[in-house]
Amino acid sequence: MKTARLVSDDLIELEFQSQALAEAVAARMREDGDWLEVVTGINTLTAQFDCLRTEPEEALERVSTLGAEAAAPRSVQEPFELPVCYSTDIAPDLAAVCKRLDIDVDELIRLHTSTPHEVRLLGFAPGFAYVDGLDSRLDVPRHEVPRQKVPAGSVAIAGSQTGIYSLASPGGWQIIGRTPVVLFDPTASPPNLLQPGRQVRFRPISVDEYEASMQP
Amino acid sequence: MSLHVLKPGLQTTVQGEPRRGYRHLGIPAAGPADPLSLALANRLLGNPLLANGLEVTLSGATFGADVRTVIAVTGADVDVAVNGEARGMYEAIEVRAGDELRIGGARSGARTYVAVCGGIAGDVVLDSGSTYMPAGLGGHGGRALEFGDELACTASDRAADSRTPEAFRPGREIGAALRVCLVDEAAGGSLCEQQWHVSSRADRMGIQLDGDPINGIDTGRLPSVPVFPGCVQCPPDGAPFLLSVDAQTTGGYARLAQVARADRHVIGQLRTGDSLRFLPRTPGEAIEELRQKIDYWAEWLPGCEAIFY
Repeated sequence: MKTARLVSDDLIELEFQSQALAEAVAARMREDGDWLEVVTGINTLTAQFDCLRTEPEEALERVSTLGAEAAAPRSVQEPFELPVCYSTDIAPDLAAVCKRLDIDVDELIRLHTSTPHEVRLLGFAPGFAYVDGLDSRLDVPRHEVPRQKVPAGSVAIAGSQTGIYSLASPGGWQIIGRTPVVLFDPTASPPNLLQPGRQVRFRPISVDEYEASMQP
Repeated sequence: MSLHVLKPGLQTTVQGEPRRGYRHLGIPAAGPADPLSLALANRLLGNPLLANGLEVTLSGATFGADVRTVIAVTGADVDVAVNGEARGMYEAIEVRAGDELRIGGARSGARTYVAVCGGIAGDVVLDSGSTYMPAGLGGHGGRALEFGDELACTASDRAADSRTPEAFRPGREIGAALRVCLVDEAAGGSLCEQQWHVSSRADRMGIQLDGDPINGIDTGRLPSVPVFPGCVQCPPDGAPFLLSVDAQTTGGYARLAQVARADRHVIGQLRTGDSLRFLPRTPGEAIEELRQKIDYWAEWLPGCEAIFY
């Protein structure tokens, strides 16, 4: 662990050298049962504790001994192939992103689909997947003002990551495509289709294919 | 046996115990935006403090009863009527089969709570019956109520004779002060220096605040970090967001401050136009004030530490 600090009266935040370590420590803390919520970020972990029962200093002390254990080895699975329709018809930021980066849509598709990506973490909203492995030539910032409603299935980019919106929600990432695949099903166990550590390959599909896949 | 929805209003949902322990799967807690008010309603009926009730937003709602039971109305200031006859908030109200219960529009505050003796049945998803609309989880089909919906509840012959003592009826002011711990000392400090107003973008997920933009906010390229209800986030345009009960689980905008546990229930009553100030506190001070708040409320609401979360 690199650092541990108190964020508020009932939240502590830990920073790690790697995501694998953050995930391993988070899994261990969830087993402990002393924590109300344990959520990982990018190389970070935030834990909520009951500040009526545990003083903040005690919470910090409790985590100071964690993290020495090696991260659990990851299971190797085939990359998940996610069909994505990259079309200005359904991706409101595609044209502006291409213009900003001075590339055409075909080049953007090539850069986004030619290499495998990896799910880093789930968060933001149910099933929202932060996906690593974005080509550095596709680095764009988030919108300064987030959209109030991003449609379910939107595939968007910001910084060094791709984000997949499994449900309609507000959001500030630049939307470059949409997938017809259902990523979150509350009746499934686990409810999220993509788990952290899973490799993902984006496969371009046409608007026709997208619409055909959306039929019930 | 049930209540049925005659007028659903702007947004009425079933809310009760929050969905705890699933934020790492991207699943927010949901539950009442103002758990104190729901608890006050349940208290009058002998229910567990966070038994499922109805959260009625701004515009009011109307229900029909086909069972004899006792209900209570708390939270945002509204007119209450049974069959057109005015009744009070903060008191147990008898309703009989065939009665019509009307909740008026909120004069101040944003959310009114209707509790029913024995609670209201809700779909239990991941250990909670609370509605989380973005994912369609819990409550009544995971959505806001619509005309004709039937809400299952049980008959009760409980006497309608309890009232909330005056000292335990929360005042509803148009200005609120929320105690916060600063996450970013400089920008969080700026947040505490001015009065803010609740913008028209205000829902269960969060509230955008109007005021002078905060300068020097980091770019839109920060790595995402976990966020919780009560977090004040700020996009690069300098207009902060106060996250509420359905807050997303991670966010990539700069975090300025975190509303202390003692005051998070207040967020659920903020409405467009309300003024708002943030008061900086150290974590130690915030916990001490939480203990004081619990000491106060415990006299009327035993076990109230569970509703300040």
